[in-house]
Amino acid sequence: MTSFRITEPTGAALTFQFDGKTYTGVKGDTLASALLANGVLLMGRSFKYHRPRGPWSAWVDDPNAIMSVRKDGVELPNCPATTTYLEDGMEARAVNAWPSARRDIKGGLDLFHRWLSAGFYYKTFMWPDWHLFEPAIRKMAGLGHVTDEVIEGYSADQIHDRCDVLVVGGGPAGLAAARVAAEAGQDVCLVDDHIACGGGARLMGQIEEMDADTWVAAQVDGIKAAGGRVLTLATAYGVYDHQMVAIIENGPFGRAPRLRRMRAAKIILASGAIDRPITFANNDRPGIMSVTGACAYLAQHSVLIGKTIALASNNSFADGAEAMLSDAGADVIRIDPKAGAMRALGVKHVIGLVQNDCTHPVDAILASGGQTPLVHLWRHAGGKLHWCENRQAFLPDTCPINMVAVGAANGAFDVDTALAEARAAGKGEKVKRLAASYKLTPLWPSPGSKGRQWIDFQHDVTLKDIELAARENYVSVEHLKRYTTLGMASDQGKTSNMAGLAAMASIQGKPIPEVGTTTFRPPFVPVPIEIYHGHHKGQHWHAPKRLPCETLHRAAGAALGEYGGWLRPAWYGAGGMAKRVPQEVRMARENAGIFDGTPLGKIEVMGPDAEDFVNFIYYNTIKTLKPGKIRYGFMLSEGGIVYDDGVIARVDQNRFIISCSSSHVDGVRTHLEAWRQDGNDPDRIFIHDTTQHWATITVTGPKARDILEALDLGVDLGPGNLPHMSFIETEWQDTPLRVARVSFSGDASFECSIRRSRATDLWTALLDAGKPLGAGPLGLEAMAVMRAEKGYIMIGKDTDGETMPHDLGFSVPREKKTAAFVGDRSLHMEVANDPARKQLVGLRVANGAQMLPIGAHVVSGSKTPRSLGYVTSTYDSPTLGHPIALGLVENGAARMGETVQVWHLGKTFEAVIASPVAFDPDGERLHA
Amino acid sequence: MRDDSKRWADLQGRSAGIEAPGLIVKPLELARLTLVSSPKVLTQTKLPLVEWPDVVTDAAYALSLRRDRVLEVNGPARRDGWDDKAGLAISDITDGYVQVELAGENALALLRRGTEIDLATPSRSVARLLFGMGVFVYRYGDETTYRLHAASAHGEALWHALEDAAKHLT
Amino acid sequence: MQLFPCPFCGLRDEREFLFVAELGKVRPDTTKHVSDEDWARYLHSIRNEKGHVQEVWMHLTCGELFIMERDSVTMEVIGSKALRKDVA
Repeated sequence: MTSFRITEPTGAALTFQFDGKTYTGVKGDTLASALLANGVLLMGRSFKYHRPRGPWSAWVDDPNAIMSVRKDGVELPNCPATTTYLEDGMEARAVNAWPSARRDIKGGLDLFHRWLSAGFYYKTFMWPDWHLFEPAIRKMAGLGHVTDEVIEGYSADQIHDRCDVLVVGGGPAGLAAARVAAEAGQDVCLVDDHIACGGGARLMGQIEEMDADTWVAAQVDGIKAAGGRVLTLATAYGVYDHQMVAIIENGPFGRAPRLRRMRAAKIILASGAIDRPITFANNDRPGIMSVTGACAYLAQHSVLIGKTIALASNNSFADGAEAMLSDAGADVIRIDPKAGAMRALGVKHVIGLVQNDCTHPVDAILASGGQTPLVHLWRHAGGKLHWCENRQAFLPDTCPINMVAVGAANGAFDVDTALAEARAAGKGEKVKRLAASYKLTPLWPSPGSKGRQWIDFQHDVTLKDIELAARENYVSVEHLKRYTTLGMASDQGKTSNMAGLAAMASIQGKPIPEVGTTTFRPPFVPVPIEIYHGHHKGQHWHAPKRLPCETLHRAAGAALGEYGGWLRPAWYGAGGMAKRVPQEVRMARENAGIFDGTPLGKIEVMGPDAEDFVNFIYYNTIKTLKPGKIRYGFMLSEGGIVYDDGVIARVDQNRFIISCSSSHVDGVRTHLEAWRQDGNDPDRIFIHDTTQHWATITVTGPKARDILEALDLGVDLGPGNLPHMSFIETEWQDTPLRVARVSFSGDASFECSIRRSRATDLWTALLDAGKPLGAGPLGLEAMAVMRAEKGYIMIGKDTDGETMPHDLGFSVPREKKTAAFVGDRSLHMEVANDPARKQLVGLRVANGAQMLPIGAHVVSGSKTPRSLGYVTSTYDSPTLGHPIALGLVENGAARMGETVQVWHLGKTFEAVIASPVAFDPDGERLHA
Repeated sequence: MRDDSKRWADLQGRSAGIEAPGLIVKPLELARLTLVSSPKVLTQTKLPLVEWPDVVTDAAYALSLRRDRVLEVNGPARRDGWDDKAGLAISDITDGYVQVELAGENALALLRRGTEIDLATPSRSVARLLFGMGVFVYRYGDETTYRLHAASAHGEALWHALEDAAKHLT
Repeated sequence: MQLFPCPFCGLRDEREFLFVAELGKVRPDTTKHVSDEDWARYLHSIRNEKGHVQEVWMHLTCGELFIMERDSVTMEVIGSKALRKDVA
């Protein structure tokens, strides 16, 4: 006789499938209870040997029944059948089994178990190379498969929350603690992972002379009446720094769970305890179940695990269980597990229990080797454990945070002591551990005994594997765990760790506490990765900054790309990058290009000490800069490495505007702010990052000035009044406008900055003015080509983590600047004077030769060539009609004219080292 | 470089705002925002100073941002730069921020999707990170109405985060 | 997730903060002679202590640079104070 439902169900009938067969369950069932009610015990296969498995328990401690579940087009892998509430229309399949858990074709693997012991893969597939075998082995291993279907709207809610007292667990202890705390005026939140509170109360007839269900309802009402919150289907799965508890809240199947980050001033842990298995031969067979698991199925779902039941337990809880099962009509045979070695009979379903040559024909074996308190969260918080000899369990000891354990989690296994502890904790009193009526006889695995005895059900770790690991000297529990994979399955060793470490203790002849436990880490239950990222995924993972003119760029056919955190036009129009970029370069060189430079930094430095400050921040001397003028310069790190390049404009005596690289604005602002407050007088320097207020549109090319003239600014834009590296502040259509003569293209350029809300107007006006002159929009890729033609660097592309300013040809401040500046002393260390430093050069190729590949190495000509540097930028210059390249080459400045070999992926090229400036070396066009 | 223009939708007009249970989110235009810095600006400002979780009711007010900086909202027109006489650093930053107003009993619940915030923990600054973006948050008008300022270039990302979070309100 | 006390803003979660340096480094006066050894020590020597530490942090949202005392093992925060001399 197999498992069955003892009473006609009253709830709504739900139809579902398991491994292709249709069954009926009722509302309130879990997948596991519904299957048991239908007499289905075999719910999965083990990980390694594909042994048949049924549920060991009724809740989170079950390692066996894992399923892929599909409903309404949504499929989720690795759902524990014991904690997945049944819904109508669910289609479940056992994982790691094909075509079904019942007829798994890999079931035969179990015959080879002799050769598949711990370390089998490590030892067997070493030669010639593990990686040859890995794909095939990986294919055989693993649990459910992730489908590539997108689940619409599957997006986890993440919320921050706080409370005075967080109570973890809605059993008698948790309810009592929460009620007392709430009634004392505390802001209380109680979480329980079931659909309703109750916990261990479900297995009790009466609590405090009340019917147990009535008592639970009264406590829940009491908590709510006192203003407390009760969250069900909510699991506190991790304790993090500073009293932060992560709670996962499950909803209906297919809806992403919610992550609640609860900051709790006090945490009361009432997480209860679980039964631990007894280690005996074939103790993994379907039909062998924990005592509390079987009682839970009976109490919550009216499901009896079998008609004839062997009850093997070493502790006093067995009496209550026996009474409960007998009342439900089962024939219970009490077995003393200490009376002799036990062995289970049956393969897909247990049919008997053998002890001392006596065979008991049974439908099920219920086992309990004692209660293990669930102290996971206690350990996450760094709480200490101590070994209790009476209870044969690790119990909470001291805890560094404001957390107390009560009830079964604290070893108070009887309800009266649990309630007394809980109420003390709820009142904020010290919890005294009270004497309990719970009794047990120590019962642990006995190494050397016969038969295959399971320690870790999901990962197929047997007692023999532990013995083997010990023989091979993996005696530390942390080594044991990793060598045998004990406790590394999705249940994280809830049922296996105690047995495993007790076995190791026994083999070594040590007391259990000396062997110790492995580290408990969050999450307590498996959680989907979805809850960790929530909204931050896909293109919202790190959303780019957006330009005010984006809509206009799109209308002009812009290809957009992410550059330094901004979504920017790469090029415009159809035909692709290879066609459009050279066309844009030629347009800008012949007429003019109009470029959106909005992301350029505009950080204002103001105050009486502003001048000294920027002089200290910059490598270059800024003190001598006159109002209305602009200077190009570097910011260094203290290590002397070029951190940013850009221009700085001086507005007046006490005001500068730093125009740092577009991608560096946030970093530069922080860099400036740190130096302002540390080592300078922050009352005399103020830094305003105004980047977001200003949009910048640059007009560059020989006809740039003509285009600007069309704006009717009423100011002289000629090189006499507005030469290169100067700026003016004026107005356009009553709106302040800054026009700066700064160039990144190498041609005369006008950077026009205007408030963001007027950017689209200015962009349109400039395009309209430029159109008759043959000008048009210029993308970032074309600008990158033009600046390389001129030999202008891009930080991080043409420089690396070792580049100092003198490597780029800027050596005057290093030699002449007398004032202190960031990074100054580093420029005179031994490494800075090394003649083999990599320096910026141009690389020319012969007429008709092909472009040098990016990243190609300049190599020495010897028999064993070594890298002298590499190509950092390379383009086929539309302006010059031949390829150009920039590179960093050892002692490059002294090698001008030298022919070098350039190597890339087995191919060799020839190049001549030249000045980085390939276009307009005399600057006539720049200064025009 | 590949063309990623289709990975992000074009800038959306947000005039309709967001409606969700217990929440109305609307864009908000403000006439003038001015950054003002000075060692004693918090005590010397003539506008009502706003910290968390104060409720502002005036049309013009000064957000306390840091030890020596306020953001004047709808304050007097000022000249950009260093005011040597008053010892003030001044920058017009009206277009530097986008504003959103969140109203309703669920407004705070929405904010808590993006940051660890509550009314029981006061703060002298209204600046904080929300959904990973730098914002200013304060109450305006009544106890359940909040104003948010975020960097203009983050406006699109902020709206998206608010829309996503609002879907979880019940 | 840790909570750090900004001397100006009060308790905020750790995502708003940036570690700057261990407390106690003084930039040598580079307008005078600084030996290679002294400069290298300034640049590269960090104590990386276990247990009680004093560090300089920045609260990114308000820009405050401050000194935080904490325990690098337990993550307990002992206290914080402004780096600026003129404030409490």
